[in-house]
Amino acid sequence: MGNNHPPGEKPRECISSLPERPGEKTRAKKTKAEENNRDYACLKDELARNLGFNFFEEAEIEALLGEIEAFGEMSRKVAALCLQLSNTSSNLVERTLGHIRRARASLPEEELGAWLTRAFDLLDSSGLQQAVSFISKSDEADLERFKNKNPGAVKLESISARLELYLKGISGMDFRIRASGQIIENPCYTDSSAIYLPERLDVFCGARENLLLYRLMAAHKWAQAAEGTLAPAFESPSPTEGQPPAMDAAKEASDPLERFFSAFADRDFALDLYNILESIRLDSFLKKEAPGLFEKAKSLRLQLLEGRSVPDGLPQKEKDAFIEGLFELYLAGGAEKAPYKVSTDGELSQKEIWRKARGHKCAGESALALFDLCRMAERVFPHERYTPANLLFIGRIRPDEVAREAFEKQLALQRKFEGTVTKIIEMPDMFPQPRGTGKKTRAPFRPAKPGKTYLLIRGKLLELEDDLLEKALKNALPGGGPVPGGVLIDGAAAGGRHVYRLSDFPFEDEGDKTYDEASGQTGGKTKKTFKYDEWDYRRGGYRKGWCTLYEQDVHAGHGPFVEQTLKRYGGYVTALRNKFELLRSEPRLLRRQMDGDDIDMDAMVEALADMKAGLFPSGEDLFVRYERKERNIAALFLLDMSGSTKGWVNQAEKESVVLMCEALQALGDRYAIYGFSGMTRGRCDFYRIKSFDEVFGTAVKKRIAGIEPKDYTRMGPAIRHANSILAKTGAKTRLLIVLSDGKPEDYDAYKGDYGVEDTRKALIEARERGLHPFCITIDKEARSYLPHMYGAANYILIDRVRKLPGRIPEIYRRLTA
Amino acid sequence: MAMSKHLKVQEFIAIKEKPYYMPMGKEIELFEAAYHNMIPVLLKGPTGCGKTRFMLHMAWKLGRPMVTVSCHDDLTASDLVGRYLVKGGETLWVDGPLSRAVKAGGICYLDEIVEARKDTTVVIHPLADDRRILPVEKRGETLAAPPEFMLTISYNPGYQSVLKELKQSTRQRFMALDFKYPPDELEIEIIRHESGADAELAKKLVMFAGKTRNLKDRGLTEGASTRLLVHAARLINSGIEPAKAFEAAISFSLTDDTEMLETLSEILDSIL
Repeated sequence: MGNNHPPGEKPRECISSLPERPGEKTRAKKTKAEENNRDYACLKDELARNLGFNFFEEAEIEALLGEIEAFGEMSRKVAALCLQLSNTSSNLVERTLGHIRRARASLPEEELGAWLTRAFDLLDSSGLQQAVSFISKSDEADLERFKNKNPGAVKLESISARLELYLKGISGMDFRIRASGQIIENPCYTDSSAIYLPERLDVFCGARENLLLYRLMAAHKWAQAAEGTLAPAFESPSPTEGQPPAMDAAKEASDPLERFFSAFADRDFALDLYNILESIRLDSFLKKEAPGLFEKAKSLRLQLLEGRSVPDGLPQKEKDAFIEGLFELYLAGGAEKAPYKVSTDGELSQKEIWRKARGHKCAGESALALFDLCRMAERVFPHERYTPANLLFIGRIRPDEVAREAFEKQLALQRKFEGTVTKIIEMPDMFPQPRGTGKKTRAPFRPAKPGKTYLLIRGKLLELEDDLLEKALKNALPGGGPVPGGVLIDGAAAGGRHVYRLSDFPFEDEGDKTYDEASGQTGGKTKKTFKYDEWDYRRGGYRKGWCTLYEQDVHAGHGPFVEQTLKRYGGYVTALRNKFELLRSEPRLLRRQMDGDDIDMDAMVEALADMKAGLFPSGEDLFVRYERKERNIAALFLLDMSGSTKGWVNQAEKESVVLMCEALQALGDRYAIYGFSGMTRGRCDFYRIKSFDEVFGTAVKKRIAGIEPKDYTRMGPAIRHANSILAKTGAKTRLLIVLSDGKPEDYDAYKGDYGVEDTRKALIEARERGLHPFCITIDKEARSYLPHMYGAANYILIDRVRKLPGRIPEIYRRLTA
Repeated sequence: MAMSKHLKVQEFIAIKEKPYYMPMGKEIELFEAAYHNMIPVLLKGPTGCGKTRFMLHMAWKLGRPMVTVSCHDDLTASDLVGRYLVKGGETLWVDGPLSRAVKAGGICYLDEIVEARKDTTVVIHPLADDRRILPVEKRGETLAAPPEFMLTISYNPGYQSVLKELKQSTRQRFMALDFKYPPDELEIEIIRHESGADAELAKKLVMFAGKTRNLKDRGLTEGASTRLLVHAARLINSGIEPAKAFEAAISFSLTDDTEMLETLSEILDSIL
């Protein structure tokens, strides 16, 4: 088979692949303790083998394993960690063990466990480098810090989703929250779409205060983005004050903010001064938009102010002291008690600067003030260079990040625009008629406005709906740019012609959406991205956000597969339909009711007869009522589309799907069909064949015909995603039916026990969420792991592929009857 | 006729006092024009934005009695049209609210029409086109609606469920008025009028409502309605602490999700 593995086949040369063990057949009977021991034993075996590959001597390996043994209860976790490191380099193992030994000396057992878990988390989230550097910090002092971790510390990871929601609510804008990765140098900043915050906050003792600080940070960044701090617009400053540095260049550069700041003699000084000036101005914005937060932040700010002590009294340099004084004045909200009152002449009195900054109306005014202040500062503190200070929650503005984000946004917009324009060109008569009688548009006449730029293409004007776009196109056009045949012209030259908008055209939003893909918010027919945890049985914990799953449509197939199948199963289909129609609940007529739609004639006659005969009428239940008992079932079929299903299995799966569709159409239950495959944790593909809301129509039929074997079988993330889809249906009974042909397996380490255990865990999660998972496995032999993986009563084994299409409707009937 | 005295009139409201309504656009003029031209009207808009209040106001303005039917998924055609009851050994026909409205020439308002069963909605079709008749199958008769009769239905397009979609054949019989939450200044005005709250409080309420409406489809199915704001304002006026009143009247009504409630209380925290 050569070097590249055919999909679905087990890659052989992968070092860490688990060998089949003889003990596997009997595993179900073994107790948990034995199982653990066995797992531990094979961890050690693997580790030994890995070390062997790296030319470790037998005795050395023996010694290392002995050392691991010495960790007692922790040894399994240690072994798992060492194994993972040994996959990269065996030399790491020795060093790591040394560190762990040292850590153990000063950490109690459970703390050591937490310490190791943190190392695993880092390994998963930030990679080997970070993890190794964390482990190597095994000094007394470092561990003390780890041990004495503030109980009130708040982790960004645990609150970021809530914080995003909070920002969405309070601002109406979509911000993403990201970890800034820096704590001291620059705790927080924004690039205008994402807000970067420190990974954890333990500034205060209480979680409430730390959470509030997070909120304050986020709100401050929102204010920056919303109030134009990151894109100051200003008229050129008053000419009498001398030439301000390189204004024109700043206006045109692709990175205007950086140009603006690097034009100052002391860039960092200008950057921080501007940030503080803006923060003073933004206080009024926050006070207006979030009065409660602002009020509560006041005391927080005072606490921060008190805790702000510089070791050797005043900062060494006057310039630093000046910034510090101004910042503290800001923290104190302008109150006099700020400890630093740098005694300078009236020009650079912080109180005066603070008062003026409060009066600023826009970022441009702050920028202008900045010119003056910087010039004065040069005079008052000559030859001093500012050392950037930690400005707590206001952080430091990152011109590079702002520029990068702006560039990406511009690029995305441009691509979308180009995509649409290209389509317009490709399709003749694509321009809708303005004010025409045609049904297509009723758009009012929009004349071109002078002073605005438009794209002239095929004699029609197209509006550029965004300044960024205009900028991007100006760079690209003319000269055979990305939009051939288009010219940018000014509105004045267009002579009041009608202007089209992209939204006038029927197609939109199909284009590239990469830049907000990460948020998983992309709608429409593009790929949706999801992150799922994965269960690692060796360390007994989840790998957080380990798998990336892409949800997408199956490519429509050609050929009348569905019709052919129906023809082939002819009579059986009819019988199937009848059988399922019987299950369907018709409205039932309930007789002798107290209240109802109509009179129950039998009851009525009886009652009247009774009365005439002088008997007491048997009751007042004289009505009939129609009652519709609804089957409230939602079923999701999950098909294994791995490479190993090639041939009969795939054919049988497809036929089963067709028959199930027929049956369920007759029954009226809600159902959806999805397929899964993929390769490695970075690309778990989840294919939509029919969603719950779709009807069984041509599009679905085409997609069924298009089901074909793809790559590997990573079942965990697919099951977890199916869980979340099913959970959203709100049906009373939710059924997850998984069709597969064997062991879960992926190109990477997802194989053997690891895959089985993760799949098992995913199914357990499903049951915990109130779903009923049921697995149908097509295999010739009854594998011993099946009951363990699926749970004894929750699976069925079909040994002959050809039987599947006939069996599956029966199975479904049994499950739901 | 014997049965006339059995006519139940409790759903009928003859409105004597002017119900407070603050117009947001030309909806009053449009409704009047529809009434005089015998065009049935569909009101759409989120819950608690003033649809029912608007109907009461219009009924008062036009001087017609109004019958309101809140539709539910067990509402049958006979619930609307009428049915036979048994009384003292005899069967007795009782009109449903729709029949009564037709006979009395009143306004029939079917609230949340999508909640009703599909087969029930079809009953109103002949009434809602130019025939303006109501066939009463069980009695083998047909009621013709007088010119004063008017049919109005309401629905909330916010719930995006395939099952709760209004059929084209139904919706294309109606003129539609689209209701939205009022703009901030008007909403403040409405809250102040309805609850007697001061301007400061009303402003905060509207601000909070705006933030919850931002969260629609991000965990909330619907933002806070004007009705909820009025409730909260009234609670506060009766001496309830604002934070508690906001929570009880707004947050807890909007969602049960603990995480969402936490977010809402964080937002509230940032406003109060």
